[in-house]
Formats: sequence, C-alpha cells, structure tokens
Amino acid sequence: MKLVVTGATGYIGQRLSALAAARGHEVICATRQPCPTPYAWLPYDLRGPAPECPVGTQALIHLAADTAGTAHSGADDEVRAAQALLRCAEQGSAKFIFISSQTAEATATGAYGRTKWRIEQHVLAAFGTVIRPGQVYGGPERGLFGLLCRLVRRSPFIPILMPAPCVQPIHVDDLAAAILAVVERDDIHAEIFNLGAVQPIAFGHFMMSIATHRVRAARLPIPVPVGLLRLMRRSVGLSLSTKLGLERIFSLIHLPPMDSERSLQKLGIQLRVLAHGLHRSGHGQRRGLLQEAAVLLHYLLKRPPQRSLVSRYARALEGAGKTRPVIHSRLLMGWPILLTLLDNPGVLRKPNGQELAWRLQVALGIAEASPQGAQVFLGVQQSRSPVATLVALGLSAVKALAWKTVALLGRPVARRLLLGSETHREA
Amino acid sequence: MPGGCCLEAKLTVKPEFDVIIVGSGPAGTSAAYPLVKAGLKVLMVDAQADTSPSVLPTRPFLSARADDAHQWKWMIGENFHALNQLDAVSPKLKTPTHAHVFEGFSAGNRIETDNFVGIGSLATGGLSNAWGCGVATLGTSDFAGLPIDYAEMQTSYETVARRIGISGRIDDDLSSYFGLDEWSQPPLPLDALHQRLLEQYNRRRPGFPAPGFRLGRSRVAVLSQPLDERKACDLSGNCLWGCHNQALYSASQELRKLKQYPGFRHTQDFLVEDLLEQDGSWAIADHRSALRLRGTRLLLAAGTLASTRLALKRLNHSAPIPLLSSPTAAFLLWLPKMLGTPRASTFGLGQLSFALELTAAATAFGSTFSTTGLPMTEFVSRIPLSKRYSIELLKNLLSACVVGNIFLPGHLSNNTAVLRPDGSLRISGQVHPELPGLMKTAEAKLRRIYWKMGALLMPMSFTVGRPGADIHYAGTLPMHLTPRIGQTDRLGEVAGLPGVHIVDGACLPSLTEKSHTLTLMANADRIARSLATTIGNQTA
Repeated sequence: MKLVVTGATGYIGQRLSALAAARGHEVICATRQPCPTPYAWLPYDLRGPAPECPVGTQALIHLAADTAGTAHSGADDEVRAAQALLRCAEQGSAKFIFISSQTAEATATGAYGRTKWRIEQHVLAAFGTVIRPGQVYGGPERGLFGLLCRLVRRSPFIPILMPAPCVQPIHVDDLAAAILAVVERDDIHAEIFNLGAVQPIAFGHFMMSIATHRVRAARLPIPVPVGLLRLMRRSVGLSLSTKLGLERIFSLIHLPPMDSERSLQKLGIQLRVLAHGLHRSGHGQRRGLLQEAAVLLHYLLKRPPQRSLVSRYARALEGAGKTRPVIHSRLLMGWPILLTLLDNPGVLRKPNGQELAWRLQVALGIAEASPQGAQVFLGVQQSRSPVATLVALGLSAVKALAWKTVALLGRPVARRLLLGSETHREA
Repeated sequence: MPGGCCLEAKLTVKPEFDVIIVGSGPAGTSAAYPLVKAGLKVLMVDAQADTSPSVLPTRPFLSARADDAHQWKWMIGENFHALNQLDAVSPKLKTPTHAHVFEGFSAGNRIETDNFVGIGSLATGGLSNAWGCGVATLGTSDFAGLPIDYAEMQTSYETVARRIGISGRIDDDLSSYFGLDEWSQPPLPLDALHQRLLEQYNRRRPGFPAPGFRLGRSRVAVLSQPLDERKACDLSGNCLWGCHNQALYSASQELRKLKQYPGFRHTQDFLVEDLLEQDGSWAIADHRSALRLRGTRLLLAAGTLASTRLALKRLNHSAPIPLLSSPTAAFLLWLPKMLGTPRASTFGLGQLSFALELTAAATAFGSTFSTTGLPMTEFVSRIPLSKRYSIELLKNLLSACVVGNIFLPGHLSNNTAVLRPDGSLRISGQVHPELPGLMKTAEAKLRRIYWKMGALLMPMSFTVGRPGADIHYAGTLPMHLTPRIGQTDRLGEVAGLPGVHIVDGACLPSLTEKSHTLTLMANADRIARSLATTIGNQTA
C-alpha cells in the first residue's frame, strides 16, 4: 500500500516507516527535512499548508506534533493543520490515522492533551481512526523515552513521585505494529484505540526498570512529593518549566488510566514484557541466551566463565537460528551446580531434554576451546604422583556418585527446574 | 550445407587433451605423474570452489592451548563449524581447517545413504587433506587370482612411497606386514605411554601368550626428515588441527610439482556431472557452466563413491553392486602405572600399530594414538557421568590413556550401492552376519593382550562404528580378467565404456584390513604407466 506519514523522521515515525517498508508498503515521508533514501519525500511543515496527497495514497498517518510546545498559541495552528490533512486524505479517499495521546482529554491540565482532544474530534467526525498510546518506550532513545533515559543516566537518584502516578508502557515497535494493523484492516472506522500495558505500573517502577534494564546501573530511589514539584513549577514559570520537561511530567501525574485490553485484542497485538523491551535489542532474547551461557559454562568450568565465552555461546546459538533460551530458572542462575540434577540421560534423552542436551554440547565445545577451558580440561602440565592422581580420580567419582544419588532423589525438583522453563515460554 | 560441414569439422577435430583426470586426490595425482612424464597433455579437474583460508594454530598445541585466546578459531571455527557437526563420526570431520575438504560432497555428487557413513571430498587433494596417513603394501598373496602382475605393483609401491615420504623404518614385528621399510625414513619418537607399551611388549615377547598378535611402529606418510619443500614433523601435536610444516602428506602438495610439466593443466570448481562420448573421445560436463572439456581418455579418480556414480550413470546400470568398507571400532586403553604423566607435545597420528589374527580368514589391524592433541569433548560425552565430573575425571585420567582403532577386512562388510532413476547413488550399509561375533572376539583378545602389557581396555569404551565410518571404500567396479558390465579390466577400463578408466578405490577388487590408500595410489600409478606406453605407441 502507499502510505503518507507525517512526522516520519520522529521517534515513532522512524520505526513505523521501517516496519511498513519491511512489510512491502510504499512509504512517503511528509516531513520538513528530506528523509533517508529508501522512502519518497513529500515536503511538509506542520505550520505550512497541507501537501498535495500523491495519487493512489491509501492511508495518511498523522504523527507530526509540535512537541516543543513553545507557545499556547500554537494549538490552534496544530488543529488547523490536522484539518487540512484530513481534507487532503478525504480528497484522495485515503484512510486517516491520527496518533493522539493518553493525555487527550477535553479538560486536560496540559495544553498538549487538550489540543490532541480537539484534533481527535475532527478525525472521528471524518471517520478516521484515533490511536492513543500510553508511555512509549524502547528502541532509540528519543522522545519522552529519550528524556527519561538521559535523566536516569545522569542522576544517581530516581525521583519516586508521591502519590505515585501510573503509566501504561508500550514498546515503540509494538505501537508501530498496531498502527500498521489499523492501516491493513478495512473494518475500522471512527474508532479510538487505547494502546498500552493493560496493568498500569507506577511511574517510579518504570524509571527503575530503565535503570536496571537499559542503563544497567544502580540508582537510588528518592521519594519526591508532587506538591514540591508544583511549587517548583510555580517558582520557575511556565516557559522554563516546559523547557525543563516539567510540563510533560505533570501531564503524566494527571493521567487517567485507560482500558487497553479491548483495543489490543481487536488489533491482535501482544505487548512484549517491559524488561525485554527496554533491552537494546528490543526483545531481551540475547540477554536470555547470555544468562543461559553463564549457567552452562559456569557449570562445566566450575567457576564464572570469561565474558568472551559467554557472548561466543550466544553467537553460536544465534548462528544456529536459536534465539530463545531454554534455561529460565532463577535457582539455576544462582546455583549453576544444580544443573548436575538435569545432566543425566534420564532428563536429557526425554523429548523436552534434547534441546538442553544439544546446548550442553555446544557449551562444552566453547568451554574447552579457551585458555580457561584448557586449564580445566587438560590440567596442569606438571608431573604428579600416581597415588595423588588416583586419589583425585576417586574423589571425582565419589562426587559424581553423590550427585547421582541426589539427582535420583531430587527427580521432582529436577523436573521443576526444567518445567519452569516450559511455563515461562508460554507466559 | 555449410553449417553442417563446419559442425562436423569441429567434431572430428582432435580433442585438446590426451587424458582427462577427474579428481585431484591421491589416486588422481598418482595417475598424473607417469602421463605427464611421458609428455602427454593432461587435464586434471576437481570441484573445489573458492575457499577462504582457514585459521591454523601457529604454535605447538599445548602452548597454544595454554594462552592463545583465539584458539577457538581453529578448534571450533569462526562460523562455529565444529558445533554444527556434533554427530560427526570422527573429530577430523569437525575441524574447521578441514571444513572445505568434506563440504558439499554428498549434495554435489548426489550420494544418498542409509545406515552408512558416506564421506568424500570436492577439494583439491581430496580426502588426503584430512587422512590418518596410514600406509601399507599388500603382499603377493593378496593379489592371488587377480589379473595384476605383482612385480608391476611393487615398482609402483616404491615410486609412490618415495614420492610421498613415509616414516617408520625399523626392524620390528610389523616390518614384513607393512613391507615399506626399504623406502622409508626413520620412525618418529614415541610418547611416554607408547614407549612403555612397546617396552612391555618386547619384554614379554618370548613367551607372549597370544599367538597372532604383532606390535610395531606405525608406518605413516609423515616426514621424519625433510623432503622437497616439506619440513619434518616437529612434534607440535597439531596433526588434527593443521600441520604448519606440511609434514603430513596431502595430494594437494603435488599440484605445484605437477604444474611444472608443460603438458599439465589443473582446473578447479568443475563438478563433473556427465560423461559424454563424442566421436571416439570423451567429454566431461558441469551443469553449472556450458564448458565441455574433451580428452581421448578419461580417468575417474573422484573417490570411490563419486567415480562409481559417474560410471554407473554413463552405463545406465541400475542393478545393485557391492561396496566394500572395513568394519571399524575404537577403544580407550588406560595405563594405570602412568597416572600423573604430564601432558607433553607429541605426534598426533598412529604411533604403534598391531596386527591381530581373529580367524584363519580374518586379520584385524589397528593403531593407537596419543589423546593429547584431541578435543576432550569427544570423550566427555562417552562417560556415563554428568559432564562437570566427567571433565574432572578425564583431566586426571586421560594423560595416562591412549586411544586405539581397529579395522577388519572388507569382506565382512555387506553394503550395496544402487544407481537410482533420478541419477543419484543410494548406498545401504549392512554388515556380514559374522561381524558382531568377530568384533566381540577382537575386543576380548585385545583386552587380554593389552592387560599383559599393563594396559586396561576401558570397559564400555570399545565402540563399533557404523558401516562406512572407516571411510575406506572400495570394490564397486572391481578389476577382472574378463570383465562383465559393472566390472573393469586390469587397467581399470570400464566394461562397456572404452576409454574410461577407473583409477581410484572403486576398481580395487578386494579390501584388506590394512589402510588401502597407498595401494590405490600404486594401482593408479601402475595403470597410468601402462596407459602412457599404450598412448605413446598409438601416437608414434
């Protein structure tokens, strides 16, 4: 399909364009600046007149917004610009999809939310579709997500607002997929879709998740009463508070929870887990593989493996087309030696153990082919008395037999260690 | 018609080559020498595609293992080659250095197998890039009833042996069994474990209670003294991973020498799919290019499996034919007295060999190897303990162990090869009904004999390989005095295809327990000598 996207170079627009192009759509970017080469460019400025819709355009996705929020007077211009775009779509009988905001409300505290609400009314009247995303995150650090990441990176503290406002996060790629789902379906008219996690989470929790999964640093949570922020806003004045991003934080504080379950269901979109989405890869699968590598290699080498071995394991698995870990058990991650319970033919020859058996072999090969592995596998190259060696052999045999007994007795536990992975996969 | 006349003129023009050799392995290169020396125009083709150079260890094995952070590149490969071949029958098949040797053979030559390990090579130098370097001559009695003059064979054995460089010359119990000492270099030094085994054997020999068991140095195509540009083995222990001295013989080393003859041409990346007869000469064709190359005679040396398919396809012969292979097994020997021996750099291929009479009709042959240069992963999975403790156990145990292999004569295999209507070759692996019993006998005898020598054949370690795991294939189109369809004459000329000769393992009429590489090379040399004379007389 031929799609015109305003704001195509923005945080969401960029990911949407890439996904649409990957699915075989023709993307035309309606932006101020020329866009990157694979897409056609249609010069367009929110403050200028609406562009001429190219012939054959089947959908117009309106993402562009005045996020700088420089002046309240810009609101009317933004509404007028949207109306012009609506007319342009109507003339070409193209679908119109407007990306609004969770804050859109007639009586919203922020001008941003009120402007979005006004545009929504025009879109719905013209049988267009409105999408209200929750807290968009993931991918490149841009938009509000970028601001929050930078904040967490710079500050050793994370403000935990009291009382806690809630957000409903959605990964930018999940949002792009949802928008495309609307584009590709014919049975959607004059509807509002609320897109975000079904269960709202505290904003502080969201920030702490950024610290843990994105920035990968420990941050101290500091409670900040909302009243204090209000005081600050009043003292610095509206324009400075907008520049500091305080206004956007205030729009969060007044966020009403939205019902997203029905919308997600209708579009057939399943949101990814926050921890995975925050990971740079966008899915956290590699992280799972790295954790699995650490468990398997630690188990074989009897000490924490070198980092290079861990990442080599992940690359080997990815090379074999296996992107999902099979070890999920927290117990195993903490105590890799417990893998002894699973490393026996009784488990590994069963259908659900074969994958683990293969991965153990891969880890074995990778563990051996390293200086660290050479020490463990070949031993020191010095002569030892036969008696001492015999004692060492006996000890190994005793340990192995002891674990074998434990494995026999602990069969139900072992099954749970493996089954833990089963339930996780379904979740 | 002018067009027709030109076409005819083209067809009757003399082919550009006197002989085309398909394959550049041990057989192909051995056949090439007598022909190019006689001044004939010879084209050799193989199907090696462009391959990026692989990483070789640059230092001795143990020192590289100790601190080379990049050792995974030659142990596993940057594309994780070894991890994608976990089920391979031999560690050689997993080594990244050898990846290009085995790659694409079955698909390219359309070999399908059932209960059979079908290995071959498209690479320049063929399987000799990754062989165990075992060599032996066959005795007069092995040629009894065959249309081959043993004196001719003897000359060829000598020529080939001197050319490829063999070490192991020593007066021991296997001297006559190998029959190579006259043309060989001195043996390579033994490691501590093999020294002890040999001492024990020699000490007990006068009253050795096991008749029919002979132990001696392995004779291997590995240099103990420099030869041409190749250097002698320096005991780096990298035999499996890639020898930087080129001490191990590979037919690929011959190409540079062959190219010095003006009549010799070598073409790579040419996968022969069809043999076409044109006006009394033969052309080979590769489906991927329009190129056709024409020669008066065609020598098939593509490896037993590939040569067999090409000949059967041209003959359109779809009846099942026998395929010989040597039933094989592997085992682990423990020398308890040697516990605590430090790991030391040593030669990685056969150090001691044995011949063991099983019955009046069947002798077994085998060799023992150091465990040092092998990946330990191979052993870990065979121990019935969890891997963590298998590693711990083997770390202390393996430096006092040697691994052994054993081969039985080809008549104990019962494989068949069939050309299928779609042009593929289907190989079904079977063994002779007597084989399981003989393997049991061999295991019991070896256990008893080695025990006398102070070594314990580890329980459960004696593992019989699947049919074909030996990669000693032969006898599909055997030489015969009066060949029928599906056989070849004494010069390997295929009955029904005049001018097409088979010069690799496929034409060997029998397969003994001994390594057959040297025999098939000598046979190729013998056939080519004869052809050089014939063609020379014809042109004169």
